[in-house]
Amino acid sequence: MGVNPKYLFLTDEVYIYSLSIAPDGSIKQVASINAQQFNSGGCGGPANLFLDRTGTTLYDVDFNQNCSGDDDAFQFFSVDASTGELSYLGVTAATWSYWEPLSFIGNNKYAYGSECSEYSDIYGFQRNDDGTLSVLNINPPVPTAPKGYSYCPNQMVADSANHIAMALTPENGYKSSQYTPPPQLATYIADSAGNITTKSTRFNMPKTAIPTITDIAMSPSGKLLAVAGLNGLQVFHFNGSKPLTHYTGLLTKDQIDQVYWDNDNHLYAISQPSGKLFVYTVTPASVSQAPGSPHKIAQPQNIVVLSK
Amino acid sequence: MPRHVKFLRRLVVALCTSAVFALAAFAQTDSAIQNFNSSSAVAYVYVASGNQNIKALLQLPTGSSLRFPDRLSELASLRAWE
Repeated sequence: MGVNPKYLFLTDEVYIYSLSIAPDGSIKQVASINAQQFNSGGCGGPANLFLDRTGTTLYDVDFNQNCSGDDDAFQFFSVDASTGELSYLGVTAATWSYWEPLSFIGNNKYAYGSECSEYSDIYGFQRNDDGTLSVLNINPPVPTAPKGYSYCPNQMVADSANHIAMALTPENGYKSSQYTPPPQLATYIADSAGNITTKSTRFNMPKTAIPTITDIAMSPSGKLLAVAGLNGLQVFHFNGSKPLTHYTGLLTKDQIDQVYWDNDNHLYAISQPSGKLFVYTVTPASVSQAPGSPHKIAQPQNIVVLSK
Repeated sequence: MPRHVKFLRRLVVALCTSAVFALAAFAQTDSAIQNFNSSSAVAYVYVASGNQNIKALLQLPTGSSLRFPDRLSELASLRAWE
């Protein structure tokens, strides 16, 4: 799902549906587009919807773009603000790496993503005036991992300035071990050309209590970072270009699959296996679970939040 | 992450997104329905669930519980309009 102030977007891996959002929050379908028709091989389709910061361009991961089973691309669609209709703008080249939604920094000009598979990768795009994406020729540094390991960048998210938080998971080939060091959190900064650099090292990056991270989310203030994973949820202080610092322990031990902030200090977290929606009120000084949380929701798969 | 894990991840996502395919009318079975005033909401929360629903929720200011209004979503099944 994706959302802007007027529309909610959904996909079934063939179509992308536009639903209008009324002032009272009610939703109604207003348009649809067959996005699969733009999949060059006809084998894949749209997944993982996301928007730029202004909500004027909708992007998706066009999976299995070349019918090779592992090549994905990003498609782009302009959003008609008055009707919610989508118009196809184009697609990036396909690679193994493009799977996670991109995160736009504050200038809305540059967006970044990462991949942690047998090919780990950090990549970036320039968003052009028409909403299309052009790949950035960047080669971001990755801190030196503990001896015998390398860091795999499996999640990243930007703040509203030019900083990026990134989860770096130590990996040792295909071997996994209970002794594997925990993921750590790095901070990067983007310059005016879109290059990103970091002063994070394995010595100044906080370690998470979550061995397998599923999602991370930056608070709108840019001061807090939520980290979700198979064994719970944590919040860290995000300090811009300075190293992140510890804040909370595990807020829950349930598996958390996706996290989302609103503009009123609420942190939402869904757990698919336990069928729960957690809501916390989190500021840099206090953390509490909202009344009624966790809420039972059968098979929650995806969440978006529209702040009023 | 080994290749087979990535394929598994994609399969899970595919199953999840497929579950969103047919969206039925909003079901009220998961939580008690409460009266509310949407003008006091600070956020609208939409949760796609595997039982072919979108839950539309209202978050009220800090200190209040998340509300499950009864008529935020009046979706019939989504349909292609092309």
